[in-house]
Amino acid sequence: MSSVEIGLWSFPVLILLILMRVPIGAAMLATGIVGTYFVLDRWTPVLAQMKALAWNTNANYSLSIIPLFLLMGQFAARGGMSQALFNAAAAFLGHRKGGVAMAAVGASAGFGSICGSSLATSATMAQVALPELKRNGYSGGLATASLAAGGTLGILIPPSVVLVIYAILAEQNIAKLFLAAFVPGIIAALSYLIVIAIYVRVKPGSAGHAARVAWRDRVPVVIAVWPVIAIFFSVVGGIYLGWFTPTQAAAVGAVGAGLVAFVNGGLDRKSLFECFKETAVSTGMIFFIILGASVFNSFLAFSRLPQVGAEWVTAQGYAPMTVLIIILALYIIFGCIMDSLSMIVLTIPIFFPIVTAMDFGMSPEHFAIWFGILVLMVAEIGMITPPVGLNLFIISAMSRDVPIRETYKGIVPFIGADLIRITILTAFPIISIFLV
Amino acid sequence: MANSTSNSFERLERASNALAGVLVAFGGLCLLVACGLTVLSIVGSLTIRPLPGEIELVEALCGLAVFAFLPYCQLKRGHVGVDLIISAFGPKAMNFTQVVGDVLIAVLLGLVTWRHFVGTMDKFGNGEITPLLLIPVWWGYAVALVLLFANLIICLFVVAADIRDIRNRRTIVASLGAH
Repeated sequence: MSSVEIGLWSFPVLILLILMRVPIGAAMLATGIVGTYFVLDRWTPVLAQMKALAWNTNANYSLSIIPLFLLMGQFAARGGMSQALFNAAAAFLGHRKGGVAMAAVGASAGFGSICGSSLATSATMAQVALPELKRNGYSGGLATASLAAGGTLGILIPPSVVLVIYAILAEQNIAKLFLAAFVPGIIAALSYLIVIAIYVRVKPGSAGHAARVAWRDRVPVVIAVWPVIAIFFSVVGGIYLGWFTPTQAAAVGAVGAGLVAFVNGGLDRKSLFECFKETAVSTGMIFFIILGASVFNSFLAFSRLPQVGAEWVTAQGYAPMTVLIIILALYIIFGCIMDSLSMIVLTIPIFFPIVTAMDFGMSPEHFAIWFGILVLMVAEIGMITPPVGLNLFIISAMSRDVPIRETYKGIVPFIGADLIRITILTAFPIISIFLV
Repeated sequence: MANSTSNSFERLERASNALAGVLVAFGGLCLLVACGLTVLSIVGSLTIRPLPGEIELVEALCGLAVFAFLPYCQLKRGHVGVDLIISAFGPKAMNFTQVVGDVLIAVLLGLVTWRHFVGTMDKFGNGEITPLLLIPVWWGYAVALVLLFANLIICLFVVAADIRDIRNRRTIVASLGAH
C-alpha cells in the first residue's frame, strides 16, 4: 500500500472510531500514531516525535490565548455583564413585536464580543433571558431557538476560540482574522433579528407583549454596559492597534473581566474555583483535540495525502468556486454530527492546501481570511443543526419544560438565515476582507 | 464484603475528586499569575521596559495550567465524542462505548506520559535552557510529568468508575464540553 493510500484509509478508521463515540482527540491521536507507523514502517519516528509532543502542544504561546479567553468568558459570565447587556437591549427592543427575543439575540451579540465561546454564550444568556422570555409569554420554541442561534454569535463575533485555531492551522494573522469576522458577525446578529421579526408575524401567538421603557429610564441601563464596551475595545481594539499581542490581549481581558466580576460581588473564593473548573473542562477538551490533531496532521503530511489530494483536485479542472461550494456544503453536513472545533481541526489540513492551490482572483492572504470566515460560519451552523447541535442541547438542558422537538422546529428559520448569509458572503468576498 | 469494597471505592472516588480539584486550583492560579505577569509587562513597556522573558513565562504557566486541567476534564468526561448511531442502541451500548473510549484515553495517556518522561530525561541530559531567561527547559517538563502522572491515575480511576457503574446498571453520565 502506498503512503497516500494509507492516508486515505485512515479516514474510514477515524470515522469508525468517532462513530463509536471515542472522543475525537483520542481518535485522532490513535489513528495518527498507528498511521505514522504504517507510513514510515518503523515505530522510532513517532515515538521520538512524542517526546516533546505534550509540552510543545500545551506550552505554546500562540495557544496560551485559549485558556485565557475561556477564563475571561467565565469571569464575564459572573460579572453581571450578561444581565446588564440584556437589560440594555430589552430597554430598546423589548416593546417591539418579538422584542424580548430580539433583546436576547442582541445581548448575545454583546456578550459574544467579550466571550470567545458559543456554548458559554448560550448558557450565560439563557440564564438571564429564559425567565424573561417566559414571563413575557414567548413560546418555548422561539425562546430556546433564539438563544441557541444567539449563542453562535459568541464564536462569530471576535474574540473567537475557533478562529484562533483556524489562524494557527492556516498560519494566518489572528488580529486580521478577528477584524475580518466583525462585519459578518454583525450581519449574523441583524439577520437573526429579522428572523424573529418575521417569525412573530407568521406565528402571532409565539410572542407576548412587553411594556415600552421610557427614554430617561434607558440611559442608566445603557451606562451599565460600559464594562463590556471597555473590555471589548481593550481586547479587540488593542490587538488591532498593535498595543498587545493576541495572547496579551486575552490576559488583559481576563484581568478586566475578573476585576468587574469582583467589584460587582460576583467573584468570591468559591465562585473563582467554579470559574477555574469550567475553564478546566473546556481547556482540557480543546487541548486534547489539538494534541490528537497535531499527531494526526503530521501523519497526513508524512503520507503526502494533502499534497497529492490538492494536485489531484486541481488537475480535474473544476472551477475554483465549485470546489469551494462543495467544501462548504461538506462542512454543513459534517456539522450535523460533529462540533465545530473538531471539524475544523480535522479538515483544514486537507481542505486548505486544496483551495489555496486554486485561483480565486485575490491575494493569498485575503483568500485565507475570506476562507477562514466562511469556514467559521459554516462550522458554526453545526452548533445549531439537529441531531447533534451542542447549543441546542445546552439550551434544552436549561429549559426542561420545552420539548426538544419544539426547539428543533424553532431553529429552522435561523438555519435558513445562516444559509442565506453564507451565500452572500461567498458571493461577495469584499464583505469579509474590506476591513483588513 | 460487598459493602467494604464499595466503601473503599468511595474513598478512591473522594481522593480522585480531591486530587483533580487541587490540580484545577493550581492550574487556575497559574493562569492568574500569567495574567498578572502580562499586565505587569504591558505596564512596564509603557513606562520603563517590558518584562524580560514574558513570553517564556506566560507560555510555560499556561502550559502547566493545561496539564493541570486535563485530569479534571477527564474526571468529568469532558472529552466530547459524537452520539449519532450508538445512542439509538440504548444505554447498554452507550456504557460499552464509554468504557472503550476511556480505556483508549488511558492507554494513549500512558504512552504520552512515558514519552514525556523520556523527553524530560533528554532535556535534563542536554541541559537545554530557554533563550531569554536561561531557565532549564527540564524544570517545566518535570512539573508537567508529575501532572501527567496524576492525569494517568485519574484516567485509571475513570475506567474503574465506568466498570462500577455498569455493574450497578447505571448510565455513565458524560458532560457537555464547552467551546
